[in-house]
Amino acid sequence: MNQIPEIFRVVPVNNFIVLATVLFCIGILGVLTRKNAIIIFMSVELMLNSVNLLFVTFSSYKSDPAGQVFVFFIMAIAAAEVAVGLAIIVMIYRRIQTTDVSLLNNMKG
Amino acid sequence: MLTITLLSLLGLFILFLGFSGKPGLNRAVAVSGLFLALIVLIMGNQNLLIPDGLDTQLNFDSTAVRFSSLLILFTACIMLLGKKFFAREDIQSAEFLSVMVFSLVGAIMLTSFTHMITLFVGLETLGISLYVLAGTDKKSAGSNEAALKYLLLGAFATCLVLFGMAMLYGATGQLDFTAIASLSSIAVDSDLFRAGIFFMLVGVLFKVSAAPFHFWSPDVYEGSPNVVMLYMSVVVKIASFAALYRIFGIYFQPLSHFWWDVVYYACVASLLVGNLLALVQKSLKRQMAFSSISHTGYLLMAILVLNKTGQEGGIFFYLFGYGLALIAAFSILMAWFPSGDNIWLKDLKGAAKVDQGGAIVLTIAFLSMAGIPLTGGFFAKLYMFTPAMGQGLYQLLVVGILSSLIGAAYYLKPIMNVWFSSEAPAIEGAEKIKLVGVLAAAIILLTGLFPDVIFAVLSLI
Repeated sequence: MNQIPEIFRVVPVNNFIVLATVLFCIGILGVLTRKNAIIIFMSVELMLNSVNLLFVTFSSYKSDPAGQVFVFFIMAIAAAEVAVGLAIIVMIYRRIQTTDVSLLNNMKG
Repeated sequence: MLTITLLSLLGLFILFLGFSGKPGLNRAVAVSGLFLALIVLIMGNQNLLIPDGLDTQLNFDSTAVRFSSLLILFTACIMLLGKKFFAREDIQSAEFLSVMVFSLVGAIMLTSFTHMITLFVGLETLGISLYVLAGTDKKSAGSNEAALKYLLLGAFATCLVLFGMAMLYGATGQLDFTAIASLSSIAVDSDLFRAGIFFMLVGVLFKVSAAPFHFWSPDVYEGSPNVVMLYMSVVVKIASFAALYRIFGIYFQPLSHFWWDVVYYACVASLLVGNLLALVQKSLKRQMAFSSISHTGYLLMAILVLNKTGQEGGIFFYLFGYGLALIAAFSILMAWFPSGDNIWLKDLKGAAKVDQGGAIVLTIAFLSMAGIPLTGGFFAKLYMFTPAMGQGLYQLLVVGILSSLIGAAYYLKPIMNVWFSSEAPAIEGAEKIKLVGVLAAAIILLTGLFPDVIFAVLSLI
């Protein structure tokens, strides 16, 4: 597995972990605080990308390509999720002319 | 593996069958395809047919075969019950059925994974198909809302699982669950590993809708069309619980001190939140959603007391009984309320006067969910409680028994409404009784009298 460049490891692994965790937390905050469905969806994508970064990092540091293969799976499935997700958001927009999730409260038991 | 291939091809085939424009034909092909897949699953040795490279990713051991056969059987029952729904003009029955079959493929992967990639692909195949299914009723505001909420929170939960996986990968350098499980618990003891287990557990608890990560499920259950709600509360619950059992009950069992406390508190919270909130609901679908959270709590009890020999029979029995009871109940409810929107508790009043047979089946189903003796639900709960007693978890046991008493109270509400109400019946249609529902109710009674029958059948698979 020498194809994975050694130069990558000049930066300590903890820097990458902290970066990915910060990105992930920004994503969580976005999901929990924003009202616009598209922004929430973008936050979820940010979380997915932070996971990708983490996998690539560990993959390089451990010289194990399996982690990078996993990233391809995550990217492919994230694309499928976006396709379905945007379709659902368009469906909602056609009905209520907005993508504000706080206006969606039809159900109150 | 052959089952997965067969089901994927079946899904594609139904999609093309949509050109015929006959909902009845689509449904018949789908159901017979499922039964074919079920026979192949039970008869063939699934591990023989896994292609090179996938053999380290999927393992059809007896646990996987048992849970998968349950999933296929219940999906076929749900398709049979959805006759009226598929016949509606605004429902594309071919697309609906094929998406349902694709989600079943994901569910089967969740019962048989040995690798993080297959777990992730299974979760998402199930999840993405379900976002579509939840939003099938395009003209209903509730269905739209359910689809969006399920999408956003489901994707969020998947991210948590993935983040946990990345951390486990960083801590151990392995993506294979069996390889991680074979490491000793001292070797893996690092902050990265702890965080990984924690995130993964939270994500999976989200998926099985255990409290305090349950808040999405009442809205999603209430808004979805009835067929989809039944599918979510039966098939998806079994699949996600099989995944939880496989990760934490089998692979990470030796590492239980990393996750035991979190599961314990989630179990207590699910029992209390599910049962107490179910008491105050006016919508039957919402009440079922909260009761589904409480059933997650009972099932988590089994995960807590797992030992090396396993508690698999009890979990299987519980999921089987719960699925049967839901199918029996919904076979009647969907006949009574064919319009497919929300079902209110008050609408059930006086229904027994119109449809006595249906009322009996419904009563058996609700009694079984409440865990009354002579029904399968009683033994299901017993199999959850006795190991907990054996392990000395008395506080948990007290919470469990108290909450099943509360459970009996709210399950009696619809029964009282059906039988003992002087009001005029409000149900829309009382057609001839559904064979699936009657069969399910009969099996509930059978397992309530002779619970060993199930274990005898299990030992054959």
